[in-house]
Amino acid sequence: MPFRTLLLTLLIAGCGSASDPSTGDPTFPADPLQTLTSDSGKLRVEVRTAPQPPTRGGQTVQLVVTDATTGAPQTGLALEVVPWMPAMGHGGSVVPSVSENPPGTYVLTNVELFMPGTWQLRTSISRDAALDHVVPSFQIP
Amino acid sequence: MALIGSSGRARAQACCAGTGAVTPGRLSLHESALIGAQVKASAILGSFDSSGHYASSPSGASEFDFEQDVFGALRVLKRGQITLLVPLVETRRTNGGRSEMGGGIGDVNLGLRYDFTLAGASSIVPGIAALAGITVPTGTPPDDSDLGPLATGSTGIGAYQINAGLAVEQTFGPWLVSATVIVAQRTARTVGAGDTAIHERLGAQWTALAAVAYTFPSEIALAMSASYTIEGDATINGADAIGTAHRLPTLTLSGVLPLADAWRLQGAIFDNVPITPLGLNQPAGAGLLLVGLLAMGACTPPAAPSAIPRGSFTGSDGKAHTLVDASANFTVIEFFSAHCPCQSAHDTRLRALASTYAARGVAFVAIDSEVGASAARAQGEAAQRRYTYPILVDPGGVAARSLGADYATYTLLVDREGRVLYAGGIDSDKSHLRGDATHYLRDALGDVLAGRPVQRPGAESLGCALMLR
Repeated sequence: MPFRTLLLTLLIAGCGSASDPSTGDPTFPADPLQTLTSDSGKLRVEVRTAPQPPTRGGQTVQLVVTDATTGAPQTGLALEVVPWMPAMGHGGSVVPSVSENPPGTYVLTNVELFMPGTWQLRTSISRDAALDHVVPSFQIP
Repeated sequence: MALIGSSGRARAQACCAGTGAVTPGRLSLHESALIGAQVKASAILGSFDSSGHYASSPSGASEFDFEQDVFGALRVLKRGQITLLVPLVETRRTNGGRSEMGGGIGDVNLGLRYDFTLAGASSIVPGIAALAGITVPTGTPPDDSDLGPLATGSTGIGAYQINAGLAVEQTFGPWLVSATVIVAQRTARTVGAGDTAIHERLGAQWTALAAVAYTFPSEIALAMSASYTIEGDATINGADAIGTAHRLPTLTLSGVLPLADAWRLQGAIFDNVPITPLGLNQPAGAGLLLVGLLAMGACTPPAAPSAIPRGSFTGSDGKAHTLVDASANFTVIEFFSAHCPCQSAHDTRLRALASTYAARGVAFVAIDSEVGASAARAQGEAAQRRYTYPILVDPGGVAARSLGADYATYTLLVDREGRVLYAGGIDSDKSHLRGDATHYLRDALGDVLAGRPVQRPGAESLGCALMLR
């Protein structure tokens, strides 16, 4: 990454951490950007982004999914994520990739938030046919 | 400023050019069709967030939008016109060091306009028009999987859009004031399938536009307009998506430069007023627009009146006159407008015609049927224009109505018995006189003086709408 781009990314990220898409190895801050409960109320989802807060362009997003009651990490989930701009009525052309590492922590790469506005990550969570949803939402300047 | 200072007499009537400054693809009076192209370039400079706060685009992020439109308009009824616009759209985005540019055919738009009344035709009733339109999703929506990560190949919204609106406008001498309200509804669209399918319908979108335009005697027009768009919350999968409403203000400065009666150039600069909290949930920017178009004139002459009113009218010479001069072999009656640039443009030709044909037994009279017609005005106008014939005063526009005179420079050629031999324009020019014009009235005079039937007994008159009430 050119020095100017790295410097710019650091400035935009402020006190949060920066991601370097070229390495594919983002660093997430300790404090979550959001903590959400799934539609069923059974899952607790901590949302972190790199960079945090998210900026216009490509992001990496971390979802740490735990049992809302016991706090136990929820492993082996299948996540499908659709970036969506509800105020505009459209999403993006790129489908984010999902990987689980470490167990219970899901990392979304190729999250392209290409224009300013409110973006949702409309996420369906399933395991053994049981289906749940959570919708992290970001304001992109 | 010199133009403004000298505009006291021959002020341009705003309806002739001012409407074009506000609505580029619209047919003016007497135009039956037009084709044009416009080029638009804009930059997204920031955005209003979901609380209405405006923030400039962050460093390293930019978006430039370009559009080239081809459009055409066709008059399908005397008061109705249809417009088709085909856009070519390009976007260049830079985010986080990555740049991408793409584009293609955008969403094609079909618009309808019907004018119930015309601006300037009455001092009481303004011009009122109904608007309707449909935008067809011929473009590529941003979530098309074939697009790049920055979706710059997106050229459309992915849904049909139906518009309906009402426009009210009125002229005050060279000024045009207009107000338009349009409501748009987009059809729902479904993206994805299965558990992640999204079925969204955007909220109804209302746009209010107010504009004021000034037309100079040269028919150059300048306009300033302000629009405000408000959109309600969307629904996603049947539930209201709270916080998705929009607001966006836009200020526009525009102008029209008529190159000839048929050709005109138009331009505009616009800005989405980056003031918190005027906007909501919208990118905001600024840009410019350039339009060139070629308009074609009408080809349907008005029906000739059957009888000439027999009453007498006070003339600019202080005497009482009848419309038909019994002492002449033929009389030319020209409907006059003090404010119409088409009238002023033809003064020289009218003087020449009157002078040429006076010796051959042809009398000329002009008649002022517009609101404000008076003996004093007629006297002043006849003197300033150096007419060798009188301007008659037609209080209330009675003669104009009975003779079907809707536009300035409408001319009748009648014989001694009051039979109408020709009805229509003086010639084929509007306000830019050309050497190759077709001289309808002169040709008709040539025919009748030679004892021939008039070859062209009617033609369209291209002057401003007469303000009769």
